[in-house]
Amino acid sequence: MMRYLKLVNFEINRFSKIYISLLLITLVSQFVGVIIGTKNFLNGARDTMSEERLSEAAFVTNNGGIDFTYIANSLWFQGPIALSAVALIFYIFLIWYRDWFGKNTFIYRLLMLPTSRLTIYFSKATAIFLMVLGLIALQIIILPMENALFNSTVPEVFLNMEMSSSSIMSVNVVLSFIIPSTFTQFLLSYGAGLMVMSILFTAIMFERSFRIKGIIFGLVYCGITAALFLAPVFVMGLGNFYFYPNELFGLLLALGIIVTGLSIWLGSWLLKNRVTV
Amino acid sequence: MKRYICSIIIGMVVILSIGTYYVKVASSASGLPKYTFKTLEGNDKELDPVIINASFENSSFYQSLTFESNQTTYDSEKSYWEKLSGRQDYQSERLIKEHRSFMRGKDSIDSLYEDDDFLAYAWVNSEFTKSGKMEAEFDIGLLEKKDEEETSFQIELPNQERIMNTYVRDVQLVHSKLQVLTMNDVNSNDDKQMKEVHLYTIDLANKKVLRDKTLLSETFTYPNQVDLEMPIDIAPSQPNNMVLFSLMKGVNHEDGPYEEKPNESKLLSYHYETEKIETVKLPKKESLSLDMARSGYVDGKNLYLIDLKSDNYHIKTFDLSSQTLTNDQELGLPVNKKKQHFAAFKNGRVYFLLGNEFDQEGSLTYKPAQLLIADFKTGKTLYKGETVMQATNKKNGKKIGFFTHGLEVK
Amino acid sequence: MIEVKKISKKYGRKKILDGVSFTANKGEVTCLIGINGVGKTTTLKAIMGLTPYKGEILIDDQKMTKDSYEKITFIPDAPIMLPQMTIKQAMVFMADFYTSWNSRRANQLMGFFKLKEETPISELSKGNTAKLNLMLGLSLDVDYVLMDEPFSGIDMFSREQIADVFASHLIEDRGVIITTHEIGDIEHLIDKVILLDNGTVLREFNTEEMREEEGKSVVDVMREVYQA
Repeated sequence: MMRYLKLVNFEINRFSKIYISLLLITLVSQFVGVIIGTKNFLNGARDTMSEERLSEAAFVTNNGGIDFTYIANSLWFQGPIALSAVALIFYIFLIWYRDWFGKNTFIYRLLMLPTSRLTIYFSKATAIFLMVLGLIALQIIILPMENALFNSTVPEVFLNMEMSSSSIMSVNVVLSFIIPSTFTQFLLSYGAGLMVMSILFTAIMFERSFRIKGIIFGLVYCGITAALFLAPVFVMGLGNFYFYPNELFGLLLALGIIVTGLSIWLGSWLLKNRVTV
Repeated sequence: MKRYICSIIIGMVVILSIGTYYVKVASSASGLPKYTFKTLEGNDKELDPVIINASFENSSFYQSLTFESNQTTYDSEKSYWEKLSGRQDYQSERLIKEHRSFMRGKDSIDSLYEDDDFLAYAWVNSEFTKSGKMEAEFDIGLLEKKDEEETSFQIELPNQERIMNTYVRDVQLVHSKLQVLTMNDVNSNDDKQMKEVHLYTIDLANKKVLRDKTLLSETFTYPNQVDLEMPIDIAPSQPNNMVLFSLMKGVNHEDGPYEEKPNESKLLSYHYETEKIETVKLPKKESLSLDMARSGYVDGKNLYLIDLKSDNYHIKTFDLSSQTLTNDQELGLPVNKKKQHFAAFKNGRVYFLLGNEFDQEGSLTYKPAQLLIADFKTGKTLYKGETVMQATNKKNGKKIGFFTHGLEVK
Repeated sequence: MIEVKKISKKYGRKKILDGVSFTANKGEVTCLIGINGVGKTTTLKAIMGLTPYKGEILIDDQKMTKDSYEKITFIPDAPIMLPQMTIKQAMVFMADFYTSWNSRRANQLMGFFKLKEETPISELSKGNTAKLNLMLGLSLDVDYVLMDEPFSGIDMFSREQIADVFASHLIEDRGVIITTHEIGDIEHLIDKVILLDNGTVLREFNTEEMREEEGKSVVDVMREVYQA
């Protein structure tokens, strides 16, 4: 257990420079987005009002006001979220391959640690997962601040409504995807994320074990698990059988657990018995 | 310890912020405005069975909400489990609860028939082959309620090679034979288009299509147009003797709009027992128009029409077998032609909802909706009320539209 | 005792190892000799569980488990610690994960090799990298040490230092397996020689017995075997 925690910490420290950069980019870009977004809107409004000689109220009736969704849909706001997502998806691969292909072959040391290979597998998975959640947590912390900044800079006449953080999150497509509106949905979404990560880890282990042939095995494995997990959906799509929503949910949950368990078992078995340094 | 500072901070921040967020979400409201009906007249107990689907939207976002027993619930506020089962109409929900196994995959209320002894279902499964031909079969189900005995089978759709699309619009069980009324688009090679109304009689015991009767067949070529519609059936799955459909003919002008030819359009009725198809004659002197009939509500015996010609809304009952007007109720609500109306007939009452007002601005501001519940026999107003917005913050929501989409009564 | 029993290994169609068997005892230096590409490194990786193989390898009559890594260590000829770490951080890492880490011995070796704690690993020369690997490996209180080509590409002075470590008490009572293709510097230290070629063991002999009974040095036998 101690070694597992030490390894998790070790993996996080290794990625810390890039990770802190991602956090800072998100923080700065989103706040800049709030400031620039409101400024653009207000300048535009002022120009239109002076050109068309409109009162503020008339402008709002003609053109509509502004609310936080306007900010949340901007590139300044969503760009860093996309960047972080891409970086962490990429890191799912990098977290393994950098040990083999880095300047130094750290995988020797890692696999010779007096700890089970499953621990190594879990520590890498945990590190990535924790970093994903860390970014989510940052978003949850800074959104109310951005919202407050926005509400205080926009004059009341132009404001459609003061939104709460949770309604901003449920209204915005990207935010509602990364921060679901209920805790159950949160567990399920990130559970599905863990499943996908375990499948990718297993595919990587196939490649590391059998090289070129392993890439094919890995792709086949991804295909098989996807087919297995989505089987009830396919059955329904083909019109062979209809599942009630709660039945479909139960099946997907059970299959998800099976697929995740299978992937973890197979991945760590390959890491233990088949991987070549 | 210093080496672990990064991980410890991440771990703590994750648990604290995500934890607090979801605890807060679970324990407090979303901050979106709530709507309730303010009683203007009558007893607010009458509101209990009323379900209204609505939305709260502007150009940048859309939130659907349900109004039930004078409580607003946004879809986004529902728990995961509530969202999971989706929103179903009250009828289907009851049937699924009572006959879960039989109702599997049968979600079209028009395809269902229910009486005291039987629950029947008819649907057309169709598939286009690579050569572009349609292959279609009836999917038939029958449930004997007494012993929960299910029968289900598939039979080929007769003359399917000439059909392009089939829509099941009504199902009846008459003398142990299943009557399936469909609207079909007929395949044609040239510019001609053809629309038909068919009645298929299915022998449930022998699993055979006994008869394929064409009730109506209309051929036309562009710019002419023919449309077939049915008034809203307020008891879609109950035994009905009669079914109504309206035939609309018109022409698409080259550079003008579509224009209907009112003299060629008509309202037709089909009687399952007598097997007669007839044109419904709306009494001229009562000034009942075809338009009113089309947007009316039908229950197999009567057609209920909503009349906007007087100062107040009127609901007129037209008896289909005698083809006479049997009732005319004036509602205690003045006519506003800009507003969309919804009606429901249940529990001996008429429920009448006056929704949003369509003005030129696209109505992105809040305007109240009105609801009236009246005793259908006497016309006495049992309840009258209008929505009031309750925003946590006074500024909120005024500039955001509130739209009603439907009315249901439990 | 490390027992390697008929191990085989293929890369694709190419047989790297084909039924290799030998034993290496505690307290002895066993040397795997062969020209490049005959499977010396692969044999060491197989013993360490770093590559799959057919056959069986036992360490003190037991199969390799995670706990075996506290008993046996491998010193490869390439840098295996993260380049961004300093030597100090590498030592902390080892101390963190291995209960068999002996920090007194580590400090002794640091002094002997004249390595500085604050030097980043990325800045080490080839010779110093080899010394670091040796320092990290030998500072574990393990029973067996496997070394892969400890002398290849290393300057003369570093070689002498490394050979001195061999001669010193630091490896005295351990079992050592070493691979090399240049025997010169350490011939006098070797107890046992295994000559590999084409994935098989050509000859296995005890150096002392060979010298006493047949009067041949290791180099003599190598010449005899490889040039025949």
